[in-house]
Amino acid sequence: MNISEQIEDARSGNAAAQKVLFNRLADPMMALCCRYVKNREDAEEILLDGFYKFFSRLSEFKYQGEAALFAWVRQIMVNECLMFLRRRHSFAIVSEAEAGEIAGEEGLPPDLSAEEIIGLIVRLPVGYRTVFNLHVIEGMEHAGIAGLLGIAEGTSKSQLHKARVLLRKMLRQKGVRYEQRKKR
Amino acid sequence: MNNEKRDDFLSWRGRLDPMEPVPGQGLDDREATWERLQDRFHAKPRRRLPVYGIAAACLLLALIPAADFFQGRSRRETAHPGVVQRATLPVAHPDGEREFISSSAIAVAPVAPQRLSGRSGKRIAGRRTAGKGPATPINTAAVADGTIHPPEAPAVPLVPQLPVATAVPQKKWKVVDLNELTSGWQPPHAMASIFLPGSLRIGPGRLETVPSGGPAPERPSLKIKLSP
Repeated sequence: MNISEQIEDARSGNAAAQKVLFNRLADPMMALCCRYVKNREDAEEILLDGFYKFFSRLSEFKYQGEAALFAWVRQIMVNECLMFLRRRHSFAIVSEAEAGEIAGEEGLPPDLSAEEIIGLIVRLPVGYRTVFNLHVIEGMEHAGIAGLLGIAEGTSKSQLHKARVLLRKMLRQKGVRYEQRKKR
Repeated sequence: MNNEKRDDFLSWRGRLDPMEPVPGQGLDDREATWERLQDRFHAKPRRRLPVYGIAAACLLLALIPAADFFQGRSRRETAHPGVVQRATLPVAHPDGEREFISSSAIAVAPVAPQRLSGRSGKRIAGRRTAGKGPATPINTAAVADGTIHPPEAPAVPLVPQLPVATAVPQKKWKVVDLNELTSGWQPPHAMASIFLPGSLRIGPGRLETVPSGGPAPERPSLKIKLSP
Protein backbone atom coordinates (compact mmCIF):
# COMPACT_ATOMS: atom_id res chain seq x y z
CA MET A 1 0.00 0.00 0.00
CA ASN A 2 1.52 3.31 -1.00
CA ILE A 3 1.34 6.51 1.00
CA SER A 4 -1.52 8.07 -0.97
CA GLU A 5 -3.73 5.06 -0.22
CA GLN A 6 -2.71 5.26 3.42
CA ILE A 7 -3.73 8.90 3.48
CA GLU A 8 -7.10 8.05 1.94
CA ASP A 9 -7.67 5.34 4.54
CA ALA A 10 -6.51 7.62 7.35
CA ARG A 11 -8.97 10.28 6.17
CA SER A 12 -11.82 7.85 6.56
CA GLY A 13 -10.74 7.20 10.16
CA ASN A 14 -8.90 3.93 9.66
CA ALA A 15 -6.73 3.66 12.79
CA ALA A 16 -4.34 1.18 11.20
CA ALA A 17 -3.62 3.55 8.32
CA GLN A 18 -3.22 6.43 10.76
CA LYS A 19 -0.73 4.42 12.77
CA VAL A 20 1.32 3.64 9.65
CA LEU A 21 1.50 7.35 8.87
CA PHE A 22 2.36 8.15 12.47
CA ASN A 23 5.19 5.60 12.50
CA ARG A 24 6.53 7.03 9.26
CA LEU A 25 6.47 10.65 10.39
CA ALA A 26 6.96 10.57 14.16
CA ASP A 27 10.76 10.32 14.42
CA PRO A 28 11.69 13.06 11.92
CA MET A 29 9.07 15.33 13.44
CA MET A 30 10.33 14.61 16.92
CA ALA A 31 13.80 15.67 15.78
CA LEU A 32 12.28 18.88 14.41
CA CYS A 33 10.53 19.59 17.69
CA CYS A 34 13.77 18.92 19.59
CA ARG A 35 15.47 21.64 17.55
CA TYR A 36 13.02 24.20 18.87
CA VAL A 37 12.44 22.98 22.39
CA LYS A 38 15.09 21.83 24.82
CA ASN A 39 12.90 19.65 26.98
CA ARG A 40 12.04 16.29 25.40
CA GLU A 41 8.75 16.02 27.28
CA ASP A 42 7.70 19.38 25.91
CA ALA A 43 8.79 18.25 22.45
CA GLU A 44 6.67 15.13 22.78
CA GLU A 45 3.64 17.19 23.82
CA ILE A 46 4.15 19.42 20.84
CA LEU A 47 4.44 16.35 18.63
CA LEU A 48 1.14 15.00 19.94
CA ASP A 49 -0.58 18.33 19.40
CA GLY A 50 0.83 18.46 15.91
CA PHE A 51 -0.32 14.96 15.00
CA TYR A 52 -3.74 15.66 16.46
CA LYS A 53 -4.05 18.61 14.09
CA PHE A 54 -2.57 16.62 11.24
CA PHE A 55 -5.15 13.84 11.48
CA SER A 56 -7.97 16.28 12.18
CA ARG A 57 -7.22 18.29 9.07
CA LEU A 58 -6.20 15.45 6.83
CA SER A 59 -9.43 15.83 4.87
CA GLU A 60 -8.31 19.33 3.81
CA PHE A 61 -4.99 18.06 2.48
CA LYS A 62 -4.67 17.36 -1.23
CA TYR A 63 -2.03 14.77 -1.86
CA GLN A 64 0.45 15.96 -4.46
CA GLY A 65 3.37 13.73 -3.63
CA GLU A 66 5.30 12.63 -0.61
CA ALA A 67 7.34 15.82 -0.44
CA ALA A 68 4.17 17.90 -0.20
CA LEU A 69 2.95 15.72 2.63
CA PHE A 70 6.21 16.11 4.54
CA ALA A 71 6.23 19.84 3.95
CA TRP A 72 2.69 20.11 5.27
CA VAL A 73 3.41 18.06 8.40
CA ARG A 74 6.59 20.00 8.96
CA GLN A 75 4.72 23.29 8.73
CA ILE A 76 2.18 22.08 11.26
CA MET A 77 4.94 21.03 13.65
CA VAL A 78 6.86 24.30 13.27
CA ASN A 79 3.67 26.24 13.98
CA GLU A 80 3.02 24.14 17.05
CA CYS A 81 6.57 24.74 18.28
CA LEU A 82 6.22 28.49 17.76
CA MET A 83 2.90 28.53 19.56
CA PHE A 84 4.48 26.71 22.46
CA LEU A 85 7.42 29.11 22.57
CA ARG A 86 5.16 32.12 22.27
CA ARG A 87 3.20 30.94 25.27
CA ARG A 88 6.31 30.56 27.34
CA HIS A 89 8.99 32.91 26.08
CA SER A 90 9.75 36.30 24.69
CA PHE A 91 11.91 36.17 21.62
CA ALA A 92 13.89 39.37 22.05
CA ILE A 93 16.40 38.36 24.66
CA VAL A 94 19.82 39.87 24.12
CA SER A 95 20.25 43.60 23.80
CA GLU A 96 22.19 45.14 20.94
CA ALA A 97 24.98 46.29 23.27
CA GLU A 98 25.52 42.76 24.45
CA ALA A 99 25.70 41.54 20.88
CA GLY A 100 28.50 43.94 20.15
CA GLU A 101 30.66 42.40 22.79
CA ILE A 102 30.71 39.05 21.09
CA ALA A 103 33.40 38.99 18.47
CA GLY A 104 32.64 37.28 15.22
CA GLU A 105 34.81 34.61 13.73
CA GLU A 106 35.44 34.03 10.08
CA GLY A 107 35.39 30.68 8.41
CA LEU A 108 32.94 27.99 7.41
CA PRO A 109 31.59 25.75 10.10
CA PRO A 110 32.78 22.19 9.86
CA ASP A 111 30.62 19.38 8.61
CA LEU A 112 28.97 17.89 11.60
CA SER A 113 26.48 15.09 11.95
CA ALA A 114 22.81 15.93 12.32
CA GLU A 115 22.89 14.80 15.92
CA GLU A 116 25.82 17.12 16.71
CA ILE A 117 24.16 20.00 14.93
CA ILE A 118 20.95 19.55 16.89
CA GLY A 119 22.98 19.26 20.09
CA LEU A 120 24.55 22.65 19.36
CA ILE A 121 21.34 24.36 18.29
CA VAL A 122 19.52 23.24 21.39
CA ARG A 123 22.16 24.92 23.55
CA LEU A 124 21.36 28.31 22.02
CA PRO A 125 19.08 30.69 23.92
CA VAL A 126 15.49 30.45 22.83
CA GLY A 127 15.44 33.62 20.72
CA TYR A 128 18.65 32.76 18.88
CA ARG A 129 17.56 29.19 18.45
CA THR A 130 14.15 30.04 17.04
CA VAL A 131 15.44 32.57 14.55
CA PHE A 132 18.33 30.33 13.58
CA ASN A 133 15.99 27.40 12.99
CA LEU A 134 13.52 29.44 10.99
CA HIS A 135 16.12 31.19 8.84
CA VAL A 136 18.91 28.67 8.38
CA ILE A 137 17.10 25.36 8.57
CA GLU A 138 13.56 26.20 7.40
CA GLY A 139 14.79 28.82 4.93
CA MET A 140 12.48 31.66 5.91
CA GLU A 141 13.26 35.32 5.22
CA HIS A 142 13.72 37.78 8.07
CA ALA A 143 10.55 39.65 7.18
CA GLY A 144 8.54 36.46 7.48
CA ILE A 145 10.22 35.54 10.74
CA ALA A 146 9.53 38.99 12.13
CA GLY A 147 5.88 38.71 11.24
CA LEU A 148 5.64 35.20 12.66
CA LEU A 149 7.28 36.01 15.95
CA GLY A 150 5.91 39.52 16.34
CA ILE A 151 9.35 41.13 16.41
CA ALA A 152 11.10 43.72 14.27
CA GLU A 153 12.99 42.57 11.22
CA GLY A 154 16.17 44.06 12.65
CA THR A 155 15.69 42.07 15.81
CA SER A 156 15.46 38.90 13.77
CA LYS A 157 18.70 39.74 11.97
CA SER A 158 20.52 40.59 15.15
CA GLN A 159 19.30 37.42 16.83
CA LEU A 160 20.58 35.39 13.89
CA HIS A 161 23.94 37.14 13.98
CA LYS A 162 24.28 36.45 17.68
CA ALA A 163 23.28 32.85 17.15
CA ARG A 164 26.02 32.41 14.57
CA VAL A 165 28.60 34.01 16.81
CA LEU A 166 27.58 31.87 19.72
CA LEU A 167 27.63 28.71 17.63
CA ARG A 168 31.17 29.46 16.49
CA LYS A 169 32.15 30.04 20.03
CA MET A 170 30.67 26.73 21.08
CA LEU A 171 32.41 24.95 18.21
CA ARG A 172 35.71 26.49 19.23
CA GLN A 173 35.21 25.42 22.82
CA LYS A 174 34.41 21.97 21.54
CA GLY A 175 37.78 21.91 19.81
CA VAL A 176 36.38 21.85 16.32
CA ARG A 177 38.52 23.78 13.88
CA TYR A 178 36.94 25.96 11.29
CA GLU A 179 37.62 25.40 7.65
CA GLN A 180 39.34 28.45 6.24
CA ARG A 181 37.26 30.46 3.83
CA LYS A 182 38.52 30.03 0.31
CA LYS A 183 39.73 33.29 -1.12
CA ARG A 184 38.59 34.02 -4.62
CA MET B 1 17.78 41.40 -5.08
CA ASN B 2 18.57 39.92 -1.73
CA ASN B 3 21.55 41.78 -0.32
CA GLU B 4 21.75 39.70 2.81
CA LYS B 5 25.11 38.18 3.59
CA ARG B 6 25.33 34.53 2.69
CA ASP B 7 24.90 32.41 5.77
CA ASP B 8 27.87 30.22 6.55
CA PHE B 9 25.64 27.78 8.32
CA LEU B 10 23.46 27.05 5.33
CA SER B 11 25.35 23.82 4.83
CA TRP B 12 23.67 22.57 7.97
CA ARG B 13 20.29 22.70 6.27
CA GLY B 14 21.18 19.78 4.08
CA ARG B 15 22.37 17.83 7.07
CA LEU B 16 19.02 18.11 8.79
CA ASP B 17 16.90 16.32 6.26
CA PRO B 18 13.34 16.49 7.57
CA MET B 19 12.48 13.16 5.98
CA GLU B 20 15.08 11.18 7.84
CA PRO B 21 15.04 10.45 11.54
CA VAL B 22 17.98 11.73 13.51
CA PRO B 23 19.70 9.15 15.68
CA GLY B 24 19.05 9.84 19.32
CA GLN B 25 16.29 12.37 18.55
CA GLY B 26 13.41 9.98 17.89
CA LEU B 27 10.60 8.97 20.18
CA ASP B 28 11.60 6.84 23.13
CA ASP B 29 8.43 4.78 23.10
CA ARG B 30 6.51 5.14 19.91
CA GLU B 31 3.72 2.78 20.94
CA ALA B 32 3.07 4.69 24.15
CA THR B 33 3.01 7.97 22.25
CA TRP B 34 0.56 6.48 19.75
CA GLU B 35 -1.65 5.34 22.61
CA ARG B 36 -1.61 8.83 24.06
CA LEU B 37 -2.58 10.24 20.70
CA GLN B 38 -5.46 7.78 20.45
CA ASP B 39 -6.60 8.76 23.94
CA ARG B 40 -6.54 12.38 22.87
CA PHE B 41 -8.69 11.57 19.88
CA HIS B 42 -11.24 9.71 21.94
CA ALA B 43 -11.22 12.10 24.84
CA LYS B 44 -14.37 14.16 25.19
CA PRO B 45 -13.80 17.76 24.34
CA ARG B 46 -13.92 20.07 27.27
CA ARG B 47 -17.35 21.52 27.67
CA ARG B 48 -17.19 25.23 27.98
CA LEU B 49 -20.65 25.76 26.64
CA PRO B 50 -22.59 25.52 29.91
CA VAL B 51 -20.65 28.44 31.36
CA TYR B 52 -21.36 30.55 28.31
CA GLY B 53 -24.93 29.29 28.21
CA ILE B 54 -25.57 30.27 31.81
CA ALA B 55 -24.05 33.68 31.22
CA ALA B 56 -26.19 34.17 28.12
CA ALA B 57 -29.33 33.09 29.99
CA CYS B 58 -28.62 35.54 32.81
CA LEU B 59 -28.10 38.29 30.29
CA LEU B 60 -31.37 37.49 28.58
CA LEU B 61 -33.21 37.40 31.88
CA ALA B 62 -31.89 40.84 32.64
CA LEU B 63 -32.58 42.21 29.18
CA ILE B 64 -36.12 40.98 28.61
CA PRO B 65 -37.80 43.03 31.39
CA ALA B 66 -35.75 46.05 30.45
CA ALA B 67 -36.73 45.72 26.80
CA ASP B 68 -40.35 45.22 27.76
CA PHE B 69 -40.26 48.30 29.94
CA PHE B 70 -38.76 50.51 27.28
CA GLN B 71 -41.06 49.13 24.60
CA GLY B 72 -44.11 49.91 26.72
CA ARG B 73 -42.84 53.34 27.47
CA SER B 74 -42.23 54.18 23.85
CA ARG B 75 -45.72 52.91 22.97
CA ARG B 76 -47.26 55.13 25.62
CA GLU B 77 -45.31 58.10 24.36
CA THR B 78 -46.29 57.65 20.74
CA ALA B 79 -50.00 57.42 21.52
CA HIS B 80 -51.81 60.70 21.87
CA PRO B 81 -51.95 61.45 25.55
CA GLY B 82 -55.39 61.49 27.07
CA VAL B 83 -57.14 60.02 24.04
CA VAL B 84 -58.80 56.65 24.39
CA GLN B 85 -59.44 55.09 21.05
CA ARG B 86 -62.72 53.30 20.77
CA ALA B 87 -64.39 51.45 18.01
CA THR B 88 -67.83 52.51 17.00
CA LEU B 89 -70.43 50.02 15.92
CA PRO B 90 -73.59 50.89 14.04
CA VAL B 91 -76.81 50.03 15.83
CA ALA B 92 -80.28 50.39 14.34
CA HIS B 93 -83.31 51.51 16.35
CA PRO B 94 -86.84 50.21 15.82
CA ASP B 95 -87.88 53.56 14.46
CA GLY B 96 -85.25 53.26 11.78
CA GLU B 97 -82.83 55.62 13.33
CA ARG B 98 -79.23 54.51 13.27
CA GLU B 99 -76.50 55.56 15.52
CA PHE B 100 -73.01 54.50 16.35
CA ILE B 101 -72.14 53.26 19.77
CA SER B 102 -68.80 52.92 21.37
CA SER B 103 -67.12 49.53 21.57
CA SER B 104 -66.21 50.27 25.14
CA ALA B 105 -69.87 50.47 25.91
CA ILE B 106 -70.49 47.06 24.37
CA ALA B 107 -67.70 45.54 26.33
CA VAL B 108 -69.38 46.42 29.59
CA ALA B 109 -71.09 43.57 31.38
CA PRO B 110 -74.87 43.30 30.94
CA VAL B 111 -76.91 45.42 33.27
CA ALA B 112 -80.33 44.66 34.72
CA PRO B 113 -83.17 44.69 32.18
CA GLN B 114 -85.00 47.98 31.95
CA ARG B 115 -87.82 49.21 29.85
CA LEU B 116 -87.04 51.68 27.22
CA SER B 117 -89.78 54.20 27.24
CA GLY B 118 -90.35 57.70 26.03
CA ARG B 119 -87.84 59.58 24.05
CA SER B 120 -85.06 58.42 26.16
CA GLY B 121 -86.14 54.85 25.46
CA LYS B 122 -85.78 55.39 21.77
CA ARG B 123 -82.26 56.28 22.26
CA ILE B 124 -79.76 53.71 23.04
CA ALA B 125 -78.32 53.96 26.45
CA GLY B 126 -74.63 54.28 26.08
CA ARG B 127 -74.60 56.68 23.20
CA ARG B 128 -72.23 59.48 23.52
CA THR B 129 -73.77 62.73 24.51
CA ALA B 130 -71.57 65.59 23.72
CA GLY B 131 -70.15 67.27 26.74
CA LYS B 132 -72.20 65.30 29.21
CA GLY B 133 -69.67 62.93 30.58
CA PRO B 134 -68.69 59.45 29.60
CA ALA B 135 -70.92 57.04 27.75
CA THR B 136 -73.30 54.92 29.78
CA PRO B 137 -73.38 51.15 29.30
CA ILE B 138 -75.58 49.71 26.60
CA ASN B 139 -78.64 47.78 27.59
CA THR B 140 -77.77 44.45 26.12
CA ALA B 141 -81.10 43.03 27.22
CA ALA B 142 -82.84 45.42 24.90
CA VAL B 143 -80.70 44.16 22.10
CA ALA B 144 -81.47 40.59 23.10
CA ASP B 145 -85.27 40.93 23.19
CA GLY B 146 -85.40 42.65 19.85
CA THR B 147 -86.29 46.10 21.01
CA ILE B 148 -83.21 47.26 19.32
CA HIS B 149 -81.21 45.20 16.97
CA PRO B 150 -78.05 45.62 15.03
CA PRO B 151 -78.33 46.17 11.32
CA GLU B 152 -78.29 43.36 8.83
CA ALA B 153 -74.83 41.90 8.57
CA PRO B 154 -72.91 45.08 8.98
CA ALA B 155 -69.70 43.12 8.53
CA VAL B 156 -68.48 43.78 11.98
CA PRO B 157 -65.15 42.05 12.49
CA LEU B 158 -64.68 39.85 15.52
CA VAL B 159 -62.07 42.17 16.76
CA PRO B 160 -63.41 45.68 16.51
CA GLN B 161 -61.39 47.68 14.11
CA LEU B 162 -59.95 50.59 15.91
CA PRO B 163 -60.23 53.72 13.90
CA VAL B 164 -56.99 54.99 12.60
CA ALA B 165 -55.88 57.95 14.55
CA THR B 166 -56.55 60.88 12.35
CA ALA B 167 -54.33 63.84 12.21
CA VAL B 168 -55.31 66.84 14.25
CA PRO B 169 -57.18 69.17 11.90
CA GLN B 170 -55.07 72.03 10.81
CA LYS B 171 -56.09 75.43 11.89
CA LYS B 172 -57.39 77.50 9.06
CA TRP B 173 -55.86 80.83 8.95
CA LYS B 174 -57.77 83.72 7.70
CA VAL B 175 -55.74 86.01 5.61
CA VAL B 176 -56.38 89.46 6.75
CA ASP B 177 -55.12 92.47 4.97
CA LEU B 178 -53.27 94.70 7.26
CA ASN B 179 -55.23 97.57 5.89
CA GLU B 180 -58.34 96.04 7.35
CA LEU B 181 -56.91 96.44 10.81
CA THR B 182 -56.49 100.12 10.52
CA SER B 183 -58.70 102.68 9.13
CA GLY B 184 -57.33 104.91 6.50
CA TRP B 185 -53.94 105.23 5.01
CA GLN B 186 -50.77 104.67 6.96
CA PRO B 187 -47.31 105.54 5.90
CA PRO B 188 -44.65 102.85 5.70
CA HIS B 189 -43.38 101.85 9.10
CA ALA B 190 -46.33 103.49 10.62
CA MET B 191 -47.12 100.43 12.69
CA ALA B 192 -43.66 100.44 14.10
CA SER B 193 -43.40 104.13 14.47
CA ILE B 194 -46.80 104.94 15.63
CA PHE B 195 -46.51 107.46 18.27
CA LEU B 196 -48.82 107.47 21.16
CA PRO B 197 -48.54 110.22 23.65
CA GLY B 198 -47.02 109.00 26.85
CA SER B 199 -45.69 105.81 25.35
CA LEU B 200 -42.34 104.69 24.05
CA ARG B 201 -41.60 105.04 20.43
CA ILE B 202 -40.85 101.74 18.81
CA GLY B 203 -39.02 101.32 15.56
CA PRO B 204 -36.88 103.42 13.32
CA GLY B 205 -39.66 105.03 11.36
CA ARG B 206 -40.42 108.67 11.12
CA LEU B 207 -42.03 110.23 14.09
CA GLU B 208 -45.29 111.35 12.69
CA THR B 209 -48.83 110.71 13.57
CA VAL B 210 -51.54 110.24 11.06
CA PRO B 211 -55.06 111.09 11.90
CA SER B 212 -57.16 108.00 11.51
CA GLY B 213 -59.55 108.11 8.63
CA GLY B 214 -58.13 111.33 7.32
CA PRO B 215 -56.89 111.89 3.79
CA ALA B 216 -53.42 110.89 2.89
CA PRO B 217 -51.08 113.78 3.47
CA GLU B 218 -49.08 115.19 0.69
CA ARG B 219 -45.76 113.45 0.82
CA PRO B 220 -42.62 115.06 -0.32
CA SER B 221 -41.49 113.16 -3.36
CA LEU B 222 -39.62 113.72 -6.56
CA LYS B 223 -41.87 114.66 -9.38
CA ILE B 224 -40.70 114.33 -12.94
CA LYS B 225 -42.51 116.08 -15.65
CA LEU B 226 -42.96 113.59 -18.45
CA SER B 227 -44.29 115.88 -21.12
CA PRO B 228 -42.73 119.18 -22.08
